[in-house]
Amino acid sequence: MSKKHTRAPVCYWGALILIIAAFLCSVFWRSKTWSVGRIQVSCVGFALAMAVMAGLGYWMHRRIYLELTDRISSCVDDLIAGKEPQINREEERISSKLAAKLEALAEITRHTVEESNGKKAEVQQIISDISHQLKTPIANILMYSDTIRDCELPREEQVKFLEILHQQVRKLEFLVQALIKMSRLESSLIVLKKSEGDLYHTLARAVAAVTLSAQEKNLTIKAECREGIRLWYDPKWTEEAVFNVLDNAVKYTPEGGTITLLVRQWQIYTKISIRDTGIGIDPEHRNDIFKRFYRENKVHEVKGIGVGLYLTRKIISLQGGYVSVRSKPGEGAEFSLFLPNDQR
Amino acid sequence: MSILKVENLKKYYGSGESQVRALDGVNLEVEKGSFTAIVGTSGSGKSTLLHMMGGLDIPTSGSVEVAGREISKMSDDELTIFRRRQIGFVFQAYNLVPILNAYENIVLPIQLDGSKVDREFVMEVVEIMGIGKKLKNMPNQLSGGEQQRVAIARALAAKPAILLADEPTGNLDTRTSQDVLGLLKTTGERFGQTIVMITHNEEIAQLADTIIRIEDGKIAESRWQ
Repeated sequence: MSKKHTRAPVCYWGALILIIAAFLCSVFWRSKTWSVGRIQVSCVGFALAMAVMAGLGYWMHRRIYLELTDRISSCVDDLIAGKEPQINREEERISSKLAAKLEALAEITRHTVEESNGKKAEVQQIISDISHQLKTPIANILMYSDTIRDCELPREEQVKFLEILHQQVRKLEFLVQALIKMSRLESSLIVLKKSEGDLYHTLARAVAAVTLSAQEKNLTIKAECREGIRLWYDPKWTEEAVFNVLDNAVKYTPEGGTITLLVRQWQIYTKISIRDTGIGIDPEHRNDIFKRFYRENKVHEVKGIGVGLYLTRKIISLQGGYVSVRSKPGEGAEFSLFLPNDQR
Repeated sequence: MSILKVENLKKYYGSGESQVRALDGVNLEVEKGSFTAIVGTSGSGKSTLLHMMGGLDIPTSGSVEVAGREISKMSDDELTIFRRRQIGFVFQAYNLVPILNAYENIVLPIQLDGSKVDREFVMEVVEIMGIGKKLKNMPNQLSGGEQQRVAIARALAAKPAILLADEPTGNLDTRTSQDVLGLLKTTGERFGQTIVMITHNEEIAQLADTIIRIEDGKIAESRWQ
């Protein structure tokens, strides 16, 4: 703070030198020595004064410049060392403004690193979980197939073992499917190809994909969507997003329930809501369900790895939309997917 | 990582018998990049809390820390600059300057700070807000929803550490409210913007990552919803 007013002395010095120059000029003007032209003398005096001033100005400017560089460097050093910068960031000064910006940058970087570390740890965890789960079915398959091959078994025993083998292969299939789904989690793999199109056909395909499993559970699917709602969106990924929600609705709605799909267009967003009469979501987990690999305790017996809603939210937000959920546990849930109407 | 920390915050008005305890020992933390809703009935102290967070009012005791800085210790001048650089405000009444057009309103805070306008960023925000064609319009030539979108763009354009919204949809009808909130939420996600919003409407609060309920100047319940 000691050099707070570095700019002011330049003016004072300048003014002083000008006054001295003017004084000298007037002295020469009045003096009776006419050997040198008084105008020339004045000019030389004035030029000298200007030169001194320019020099002084340059020197002062250089000092300010160096000081600014020093302050910024020390701020950067502090940030590198993970300390809080020693500069006051709430002043009307260039260094203060730069320090505030630098600090924001450091903050963002730190946040990004933390986030990506967290994600990495998550993926490692789930991969080690799944790899571990792969071991059991493989060991079982080996054991039962060895038994069938090497032992003389009665026919019904063989059938029983083959049935067990079949189940184990199914389990493997599910785990491998899960791994394939996970590989798509890397957001770089979701490449959106937006085009203008009618939402109706996309929704119809998504509904068709769950019709069979809904019939098995004797569920009614009601869809209310008129043709001609045109959006700028990616049909393939949006279909997947809607399918994931519908698939969940089918999974978590007990037999005889109803699933309703409703589309409404507003000024900025189009809302696709999917309502079911299923088990619902506990309020404290309403946000967790969108996290990847999250599964509520009460649904552990239902097959799934907890990436469906994560993908849905990712797909929708990459298109500039958002997802919201309302639910009463035991009565059902309503997921709303909002997609922007116009190209963003 | 929390960007906003409120510790044992108290605000009393008056003294003795007629003393009003607007805030009576509030503690909370807001994560960077999150969307938090503060819900409460009128008179519960939620607006007072928001004003304290934005450095618009001085607490009786307790501390408010934004981006690692204790704002109750700042001088008035420091506070002014702090608000300009770190806090974006969105009010119920839009608070646009009537003699400036939409674009001028949006870049006003940046210009006040003497900074160069990051035109590319501002135009991105404007496009998302869907007000690209209305930039030359004066506030009185805009609908309520549009005015609020301009106000949100203004708050975002300066890239603040926190965006504080006080009943942002209080003057809008249900449909427009949904649109405006959707925009608030999607831009928050897109730019990693921390948002704290006050509302008395539970439905609106559902969009947030965290809901904090405030009753009689105290936090009633803070939970992940």
